[in-house]
Order: sequence, then structure tokens, then C-alpha cells
Amino acid sequence: MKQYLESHEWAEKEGDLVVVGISDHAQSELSDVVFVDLPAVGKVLAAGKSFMAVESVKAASDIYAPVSGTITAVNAALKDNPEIVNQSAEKDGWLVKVKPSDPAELGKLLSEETYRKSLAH
Amino acid sequence: MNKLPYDPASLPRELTRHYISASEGDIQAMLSSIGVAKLEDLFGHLPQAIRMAGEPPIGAELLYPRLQEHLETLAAANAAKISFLGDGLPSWRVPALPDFVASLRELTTSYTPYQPERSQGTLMTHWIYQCLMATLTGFEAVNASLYDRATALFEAIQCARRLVKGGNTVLVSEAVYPGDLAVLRTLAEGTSLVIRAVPLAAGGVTDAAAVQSAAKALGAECFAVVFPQVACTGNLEDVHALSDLAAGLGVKAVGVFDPMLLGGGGLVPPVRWGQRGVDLVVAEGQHLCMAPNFGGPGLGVFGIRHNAERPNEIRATSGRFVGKAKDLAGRECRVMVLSTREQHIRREKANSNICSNEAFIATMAGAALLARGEKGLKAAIAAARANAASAWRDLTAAAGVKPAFPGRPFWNEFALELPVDVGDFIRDASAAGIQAGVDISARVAGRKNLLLLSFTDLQGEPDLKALGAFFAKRFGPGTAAAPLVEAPAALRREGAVGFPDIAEAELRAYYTRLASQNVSPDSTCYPLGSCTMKYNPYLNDYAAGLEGFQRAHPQSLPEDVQGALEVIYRTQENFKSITGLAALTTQPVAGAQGELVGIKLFQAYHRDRGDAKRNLLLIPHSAHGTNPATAAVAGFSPETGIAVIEADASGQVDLAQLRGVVAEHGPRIAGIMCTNPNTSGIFETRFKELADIVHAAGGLVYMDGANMNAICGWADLGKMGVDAVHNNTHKTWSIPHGGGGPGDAFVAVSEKLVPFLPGMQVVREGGKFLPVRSPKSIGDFHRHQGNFAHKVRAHAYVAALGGAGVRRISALAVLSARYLQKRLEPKFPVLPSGSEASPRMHEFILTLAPELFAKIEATGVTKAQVMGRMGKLFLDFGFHAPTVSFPEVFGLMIEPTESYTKAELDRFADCVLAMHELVSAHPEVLKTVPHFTPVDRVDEVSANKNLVLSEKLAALPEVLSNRLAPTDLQKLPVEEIQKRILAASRTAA
Repeated sequence: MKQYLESHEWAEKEGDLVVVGISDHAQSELSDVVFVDLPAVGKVLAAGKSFMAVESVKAASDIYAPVSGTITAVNAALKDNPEIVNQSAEKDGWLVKVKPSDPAELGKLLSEETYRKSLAH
Repeated sequence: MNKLPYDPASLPRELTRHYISASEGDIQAMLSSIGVAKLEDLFGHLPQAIRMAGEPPIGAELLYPRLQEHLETLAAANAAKISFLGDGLPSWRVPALPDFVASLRELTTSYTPYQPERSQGTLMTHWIYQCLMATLTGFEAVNASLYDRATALFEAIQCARRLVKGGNTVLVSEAVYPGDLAVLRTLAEGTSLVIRAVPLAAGGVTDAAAVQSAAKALGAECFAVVFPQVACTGNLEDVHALSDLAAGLGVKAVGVFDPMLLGGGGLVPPVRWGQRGVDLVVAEGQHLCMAPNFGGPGLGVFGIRHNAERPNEIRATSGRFVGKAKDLAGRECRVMVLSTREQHIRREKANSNICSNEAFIATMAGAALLARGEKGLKAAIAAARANAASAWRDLTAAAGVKPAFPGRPFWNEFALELPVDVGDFIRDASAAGIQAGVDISARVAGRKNLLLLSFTDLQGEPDLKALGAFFAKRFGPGTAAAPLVEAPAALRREGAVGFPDIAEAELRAYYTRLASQNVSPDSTCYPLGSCTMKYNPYLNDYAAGLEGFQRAHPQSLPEDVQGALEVIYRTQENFKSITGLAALTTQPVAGAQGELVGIKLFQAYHRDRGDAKRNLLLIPHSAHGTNPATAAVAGFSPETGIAVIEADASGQVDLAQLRGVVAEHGPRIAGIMCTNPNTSGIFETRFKELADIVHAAGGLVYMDGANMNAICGWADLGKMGVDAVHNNTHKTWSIPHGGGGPGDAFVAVSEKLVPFLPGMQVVREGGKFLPVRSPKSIGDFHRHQGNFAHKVRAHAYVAALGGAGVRRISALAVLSARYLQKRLEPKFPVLPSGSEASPRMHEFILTLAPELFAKIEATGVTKAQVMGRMGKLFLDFGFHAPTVSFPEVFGLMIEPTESYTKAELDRFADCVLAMHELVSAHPEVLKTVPHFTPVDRVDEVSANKNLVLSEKLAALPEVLSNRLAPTDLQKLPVEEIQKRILAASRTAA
């Protein structure tokens, strides 16, 4: 079950890890993604702080961490094929996997329903 | 007086009063159309308290031919002497081609190539520059230029810091030029960057042992080492050992080189320094294509590796890159890439605040390298060496004259130790008609009377003889000449560079074709909002090209450059009057650099008062991205150092919010940066109140003067409470935009900031002009005194305006904009919505009605794409596009300037209304625009994904032709253009 940030990231539990990406709405606002500035595995994240960027031709979108923790994996396929973010933002276009330091933080995120409603305004 | 190289009478805008084309009849007709009685009433909404009392007191205008005579007299006041001044800005023989290219108005007067389909000419000239520099250095990515060597070095250091992540200290060998080091120190002040200079070894080269021990002591705090190929003593460095030293330390190596010396038979290219080559390179490139011009415009060369092994380091760089691209039909073309690093997109998170660069100098440098070719460059390098060797034999044979660094290899510059006071010697030589060199005694600890002489292919046999004779006469014959040390093979280039040799006539024809792919404000309204694309007088370029100005070296004795100093003095005096402020610096080379000067002055002022905790800058939401980027470069935290102030319903800064921020953060506030008129073209009528609020909190007020063309001569910035303001001389003061630069600026300040001004102030004493430094000067922003040639152009323009003209240009700029707005309003809503009641100044923002948006979106064009496509439609009518999607995402910002007749503005309005009609009836044309440019819409996505930033040029790249030239489009009836667009669109679809 995905949860969302107002800044258009999603987070989903996968075992004891949290997978992070950007929402389909975010990818369509950004238009064609030309570069994903993937962070290094091992990078420590603080919830709510920007930790990487996704770039189109005319915009660079900062990505904010949904939870605090340590990056354990990055989606290496995006290095050569950043368009996967456009094609499958909420599945194959995931960005990083995080080992959360405080899993309770997930509880503070928006539900899918609340997020989708917020887009309608 | 000289015969002019052009006939002013044949140029429709050149002999008009104040370079304003509109007739008195036009003016009356436009005034009555907008319901205003007289020009003065256009400024009726400016509060009385901040109005200028009358015309700025800068004297009466000068007209052709007296203006020409005045400029020639100034240039002739610079002495013509045999020169051996170099010291990082040498004078080489320059081929004729760069000057020819500088006469192609579509290249010199056009804007930054943001519309690639209408800028292939400019893009290709930059591509050629990037490719040739890449071939010369071995670095795959050389950007389309930075300001000068000094600021390029700063950007390279910042780039290295981003790549290493962690350390804050860079070790800079004092073998780099002292002027460059001074700029680094100025820029680092108040930021987290630490510049640690490493003094020279006794042999006049980088002290490798000292670098090593300093780096070891610093540990992870040290992130890079900077060293040059040619030390500021003329000595060649052991670049292999230094490069390997940096590699061994695990830090980035930044190398400084001289592109003239990298040709065949010259010095080893930086890609081969040491085991792995250095990581970043910078250079000065001005002398590739220009005389010293009292210091500028310069050309900051910046290179980084970009290959399969190091694909992403490029993203840590600043400055513009041109990449290879394809249009939608698969035609090869060029486009600017990697823009997301830049200030206009990334704001305070950008890699730099640089906006305008030295684009046209890069264009000229590329042309100069092509004109020289492999053979010409090799011959120039050999001639310089031969001249240096010949002088070495003559001069070291004079009694008591010794090599300063015996046994050290050099190429074309060497230092001597004189048996007399070197200052006296330089003055005596000057009196004898020789600029003998530079006193470098202070550069090496414990040494005195060291003279550095520079030799190039420009000096002839008689020059060398005169120098030899002066030494012989002054010192008498000595013993034998000192032995000449040859440069070791390891420090020399092996084999050829790989430049093509192309005939000059072919190159001229090629650049002429490139020019035809652009449009120029010469021929028609160039409506780019906030860019002030006014007519650029030919006389300005003629003045800047005068021999007396061109050859002036910035390290000349003041008595040899009285003409240059007088230009700066008059610039100071004139703009003090025009702004109403106390003093100014002419050193900044761009608007963005002017902003940085202003903010650093604020920091120095607060520090000087012991008020060092002011770490917050207030910036309105509508500010151009350069403002927050400048704040970040000055050391304000992107997270906590910038507070954004919103606009209220009238489109002006929300003073209630400002009061709230001031109440909360008062003691932290360093100042406010506010553009006036703002980016929506609205004058901030409560500016004085805003300034009072900030002053009461102890902060200072910076006004971004990018829109000075709307208010000059009418608003008194002193009365408005401004502490610092920059003017872009390439906007208001008629300097050509050069396809993106060189820009130019001055910064004027209130009394409070006068003691801190950077660079030099010129004072007049006993009829002589003298450079002086302010007592608490914040340092230097340029290796010399800025883009002097542009100060000549601006002076020529201001002299042509006089006090009356300064008021008349802004009045006509506002009148032209209001007239156009009046004609277009019936079809286009104006943004920001809700602010309709606020009168616009020199520009306005249009959008489309919601129904029209919907109609267009129904064709498959997304809402976010609509304004961009509308911009492309302007290209189809023979114009450049307006400013698209800034500051309003769904807006087109139009600034007509004062340069056009009512008939020309009417034609423009007719075309824009015809666009509306066309899109309303056939919205699908926006799917295929533009139709008549040399290429279809450029595929920027693939160009950015698959970056190609250089290639080896075996021949000149192909140039495609316009399908319909802008000059032809401008003559067609409007209905005919509509028909042709429709036909072309149907074929394309």
C-alpha cells in the first residue's frame, strides 16, 4: 500500500525496507525526464529533507525523503533510461530503497485517497 | 577625423535623435491613442517625492560628427608605445576574421540562443569554439565561456568542491597571476570556501613540497590544488609532477593554461599532464581574438572531462553548454543543453549565479582559431619563442642585467633582475616610448627589481632592436649573454593539434551564412521582455574599435592610458547623475556580477560595523532567478538565508508581509533585493516605504536595475532609498547582446557603501586622471578593470543622449509598450490577473483566454506547452519570440523598447493579432511550429539525454538554409504569412 507526500513522492513498505519514488502526477508535471541524479548507497536521509533530484529539460525537481534512514539500493536502470520514470513512475520507475531508522514516520504520510483528493483541488 | 567604415546615412536608425526612430507625429499619435497628453504624464503615477527634479545634469547631447570627434580624441589620449606588457593578457597578432565576424549584426546584436530554431547561427559559432577548444586541450567539455580567467578559476574551484564533497579548503599556488588570486579571495570572503595561497619557491615556480605538506596537514579538509602551466614569473611549471602530486593526495587538480601556447610545437596539453591529466582546466582566451582593450571583455575558458568513465562530473559545472541535437524531422542541429544547473531554473540551488557570459568573445575566438588553422597557430608560437630568444640574448648581455631565475625554462615570457630600481626603469623606458614590462618583485619572497617581459608574434625586428638599444644605453655593454634554456621535450606538445586549415574567403562566406540564421533588432522589433533589445548604434562599435582604446594594456602607467581612465571617470560621473547616488564601480562585467558586488558590499558594511550576524536576505517572489542564486553565491544559506516576499493584489511587493518578516527576523536582515520596475513591468510605487522598513531594521536596499530603461531620468534612486543598484549596460545603455554576452554593468551606491567599493575609482587631479582604491575596498571581481570596451560603447551612447535623451529613451520605451498593449488587449488578457489597474511601464505580459487554451489543448498540445508553441509562432512571422513562461508560466512578456516607428509597432501588433486569429481558427498549427526556420522544432529531450558536447572538426559543419528568411517574412502581407503557415502546417502534419 503506497503512501504519499504533499511534495509528490510515494513510499511503500517492502519487507523491512521502504521503496521511494515520485507520483504519476509528478512525472507528468515534470514532462520528459532526462536525468535522475541518483544518490550513493549508504547515504543517510532525514525525513522531509531533499536528498536527490529528477531533471527534465526545463526543470529540476528536488525529491524529499518520506522517512529517515539509510539508502540500501538505487534503481540503476534509471542511469541509462531515465524515461522509465515517465513510463512507470509508481512501479518500475522507483528511485531508492531505504532502511528506515524510525518506521513510525510512515504513519505521518498521506493515504493514497487523501493524496489523490489533494490533486483534485 | 577618420573616415567611418560605414555610411551612417544609409542606416535608418543611426542618425535619428537619441537613436529613436519614431517621429514627433508618431509620438503624438501613440499618446492620443492611449489617452495621455504628454510624455511626462506616462510617469504620473510615480510619487513626487522620488521623482528626479529635472533632466540629469550630464550635459547636452553630442551629434555626429562632433560625437565621433570626441570619441577619437579620447582614444588618442592613450599613448602609442612599443609594448612588452603581457602578464596574462598578452597582445598577439590577430587574424582579420574575428573583426569581420564582429561586423555581422545578426550575430553581434542577437540574444542568448534560447530559441534554437532561430539561433542556429549563434549556436554553431559556439559549437565551433567548444570543438576547437576541446581538440586543443583534450577536454571533451569546454563550456561556451565564463567571464574571464579569474572568475573561471573560481567556478572551477566550486565545481571541484561539489565533486569531492567534504573539504572546504583549496590550495592555490601563487604561481597564478596575482590579479586572479585577488578575485578568488574577494569571492570567497564571507562564504565557507577557504582559499589558501602557497607562496612560490625560490626558483619562481610552484612550491610542490609546500603544497604537499599543506595538503597533508589539512587532510580531508583540502579538496583541490590549483597550479598553472606558465607561472606568473614566466617560468614553465613541471605540470606532470604537480598533476601527479594532486592525484597522490586524492584531491582534484585544477590547471591554468594559455590556449595560444598549446598549438603545434608549443606546450603539452592539459589532458596529458602527469599520469591521468588534470581534472579541470581554465584559461584566459581574450588574446586569441582581441587586443588588451584595457583589460576586457575577457574570455573565461573552462573545461572538464566528459566521457564514459566520467559521465556526470559535467553536472557540477556552471555556464552554458551547446550540444548536438536533431530536429523533429531528424536534421542535425545544435541546442543549449544542461540548463537545469543554471540560475534561471535552479535559483538559490544553481551551481552559480552566472547568466550572461562572454558569448561573442567565444564566437570570435573560435573564428580566430579557424583563421589561424594548424599552420598559423604553430607559426605564431614559433615566432613568439624566436622573439623571446632574441631578446634574451640581447638583454642578458647588458651590464648588470641577470636572468631572474637562471636555468629555468620559459617559452615567451621571461623575468630579469635589474641592477636599478625597477619602478624607475619602467618609467624611464616609457618616457623613451617603450612599455618594457611588469614589476614582479613582490611575487617572490626576498627578491627585488624583477622585470617580466612578454614576447609574441606581434613584435617586429624594429621593436626588439629598440628594446635592446634602450637596455644597452641604460646599462652599457656587459659580458656574454646568459645561456638560453630550451623547454624540455616532456613539457612540449608532441605532434599536431589536428586543426583544419581553411581559406579565409571560405570562412567569411561561412560565418555570413551563419548570421543569416539569426534575427537582429536592426531590422524589426525584437520583443524579448526584460532583455531590452534596443538598437545598438554602429558608432559605439566604431569607438570601441579605435586603435587607441584597443591597444591600451591595463598594466600601463596611468600617464599612458589617460584616454581610458577618462572614459571610466566620465562613466562614474554620468551615472552618478543618472541614478542620483553617491559613487559607482565600473568593474562588474555582468548584471549578475553587479548583484554579487552589491550583496558583498552589504556584507562588508555590516561586518565593518561589527554587525556580523545579518545572514538573511529578503527577495520578492517575482524576482529573476539570478537574485536568489547571487545570494547563495555570496554565502547566504539556500535553506535559511533567503526569505521570499509575495506580491499583493496590485502586483507590487506585499508590504504587510514584509513588515511581518521584519518584525520576526529584524536583527538577522542583511537587506532586500528588489527589481523596480518589477518583472511584471509594474513600478513599485511604495518603494521608498519598503526601503524605510528595511532601513529601520538595520538592513540595506539593493535595487535590481535590469529594468532601468523604463525609468531612467525620471526616478531618483537616491530619493527612493536605494543603497546599491546595478544597471546592465547591455540592456539600457545599448551594448549589443552578442548572442549571450559579453554583458556589462556598473554598480552605483549610497554614501554608506562608498568606502567599500571594489576595483579602482578614477579621480581627476590637476587635469590628470588617476586610479585609486577605496579605503576599505572589498577587493576585485575581475582580473583587471572589467569589460572596458563596453564602457566605451556605453559612454558613446550616453554622450549621444545627453540629459534630455536619458529621459526621452525611457519615455518612448514606456509609450511604445503601452501603445502595443492597448492594441493587443482586446484579444489577449494581461497578467498578473487582478493587477489590470496598475499601469505598465516598458513591458507587459499577455496570456490567452481559457477557451483558447482549451481549444489548443484539444489538439494534443499540453497546457504547459502552449506558451512555448506561441513563442515559436512568432518565429514564423519573422520575429524573435517574446520571453516565454517567465515570470508567469502562462505568459508571453513583450518589451518593444524605444527603437521603432509607429508603423513598425503597428506591423508587429498586426502580426500578433493575426497569430491570435490563426490559432483560434486552426489551433493545430501549434503542433508543427515553427515552419520557416532552417530546422523544425528541436528535440531538446534527446539532446539532453545523449549529450554530445564536442567533436573533432575536420571541416566546417553543415549549415542549413532558412526555408523563408526573416527578412522576406517581414515584407510579406500578414494574411499571406497566415496562409503559408497553414499550408506548411498541413504538409508537415
